[in-house]
Amino acid sequence: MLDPSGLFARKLLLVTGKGGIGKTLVAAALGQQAAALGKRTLLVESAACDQLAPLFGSPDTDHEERTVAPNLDCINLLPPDNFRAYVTKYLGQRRLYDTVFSHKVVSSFINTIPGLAEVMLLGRLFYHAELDKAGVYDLVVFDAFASGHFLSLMTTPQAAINAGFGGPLASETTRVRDFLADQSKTGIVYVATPAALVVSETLDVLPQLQAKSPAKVAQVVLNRMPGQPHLDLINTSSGAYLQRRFIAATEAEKTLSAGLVELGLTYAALPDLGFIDEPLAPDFATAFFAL
Amino acid sequence: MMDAPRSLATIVKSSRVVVLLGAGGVGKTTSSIVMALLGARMGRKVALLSIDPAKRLAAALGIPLGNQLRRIELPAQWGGAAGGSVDAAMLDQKAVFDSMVQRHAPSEAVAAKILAHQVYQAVSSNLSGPLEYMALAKLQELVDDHRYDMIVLDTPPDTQALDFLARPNMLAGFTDNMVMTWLLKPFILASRFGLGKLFSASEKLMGGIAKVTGVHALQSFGEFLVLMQEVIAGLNIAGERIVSMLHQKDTRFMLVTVPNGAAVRSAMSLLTQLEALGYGAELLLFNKCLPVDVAGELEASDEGASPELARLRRRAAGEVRLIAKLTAAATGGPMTPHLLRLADEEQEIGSLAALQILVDKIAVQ
Repeated sequence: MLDPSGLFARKLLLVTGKGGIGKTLVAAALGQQAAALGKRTLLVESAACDQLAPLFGSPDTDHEERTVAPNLDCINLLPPDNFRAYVTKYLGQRRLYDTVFSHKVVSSFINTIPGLAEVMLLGRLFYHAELDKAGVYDLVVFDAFASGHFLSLMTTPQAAINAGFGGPLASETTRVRDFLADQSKTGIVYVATPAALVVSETLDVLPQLQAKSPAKVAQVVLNRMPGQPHLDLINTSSGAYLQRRFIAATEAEKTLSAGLVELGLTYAALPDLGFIDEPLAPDFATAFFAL
Repeated sequence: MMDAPRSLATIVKSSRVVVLLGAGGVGKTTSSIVMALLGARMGRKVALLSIDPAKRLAAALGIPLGNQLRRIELPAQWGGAAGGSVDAAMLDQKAVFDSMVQRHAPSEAVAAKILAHQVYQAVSSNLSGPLEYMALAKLQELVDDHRYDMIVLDTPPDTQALDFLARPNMLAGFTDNMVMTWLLKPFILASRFGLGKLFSASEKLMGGIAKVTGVHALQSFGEFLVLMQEVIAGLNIAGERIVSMLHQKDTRFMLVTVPNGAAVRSAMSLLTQLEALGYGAELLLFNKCLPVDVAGELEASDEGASPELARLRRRAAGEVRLIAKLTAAATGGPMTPHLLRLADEEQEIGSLAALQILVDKIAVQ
């Protein structure tokens, strides 16, 4: 069961975890629930393969904000768009962009400066969550990268500041870093599953995130937690399978729970749904978080 | 009419290179080791290039992290055909990048300068993108090494786009930046002679960028590109050889996925990209499936109304649907793929013995 009200008091949620553990589903459910509670919510992904919009019945996630449900918009942020938005909207330098940055050679250069794409992505999340003067969104939920890549994303602002970026980029990056570090505004939702390998990786990564990332973990979610199978099933193959999985998951949950105590963190468990039908029902998140 | 898929034994015995593709978290690294072990069992001399960001698998199997291959000691009861072996390396981006620089830099002094450069240190260990290119470059080295007759190549977990196959000309961005080097020269000169007047068209462009990034970042990036020129040229030649090698008939692609909507969507996207490049997936592996006995039981009877069983039944039906969907998509391409499945419980891997069980399961499919 997960009570997301504390999370929804923030402006930006960053959902991460090992690959293949249901980050996207958790991010989508958070977005759907926030929207149901009346928050104008933007669900963000930054990926070559669109995963968010299909959960809401659209074939692909657009690169512009697109409404997929009442109060709920989706967007897939790509590096060249982020750069254009950053320079025109954020720095207010439309003419500079038109005369200089739309140049093909320059765009390829932008893609090659180490860290620049990451800084722009974070800058754009900051823009939608906080800076946009029209105040379109109450909450931005980012279906972020898998944990290793996410850690390097989060360390980029400080690395960029240290590496000698100057000008508006440096001052804006400082603002972005401070926004990420403000725990009343930004929080990480870290997703794990009750499998031994996932749990041990989670316990390796969390301390690194807490130490190196300006944004801190607001919630650990143990996704796909199976329930105890009914006793009259035990004599079937299916029942035995469910029982074995339940025992293994309970074991993994214990390890996670003990490890998190040492880190001063708690977790919320979400149920194993077996198979996710697409698109999600309009009340999917309410039921998912209540179980 | 499409040809029937070739048997797994035929595929393994006739492949020079097997490239595994799939989204993060689908068990790609484990699968790459299984394929390598399967090759060894069939008597092949296998080199395995794998990427395990969590490094757990590497530790369990005693595979060193870096770019040096090391023999995996197969247990005596391993059986299999004579002469089979696996040499494995878990690629570490920085180690591979370093060795490329050392190999292609014009002199040791330049190599040392590059390795110590601030920009290089950021690029070489912090970016996810170049790892695919690194793996390909290492692959090239191994294809030239006649101690191996089969090479298994894992790809990094974040690989969602096959740019590295479309343009293996090593860091395509850098290539365009041969032009960038020219554009950046004023900044390098400015750093040498002080920030004097900058003029000419290129300087105007760069001046625009500097308005955003500051001058210092451009200077240090410019210096870096100048140092890297020959390394990049060397890598580009290697890249062209890789393209022609990948188009050989004995290179096989294996698509690895799991039976859920998101993973299959990602696999379909990889498949489309692969086919657009003129390749096809010859092996299709579904990891984390329901065990065969459970799936069979659920199919045979629809008794039992408990919510757990209903959930399991939905999962079984969903699996069948998704496997059929991806198989049909892959069959529409240049070849009929051979379908492989592994059950979820078999995949909590911590030892070579556990991996052998997977090899047994795969070998008979």
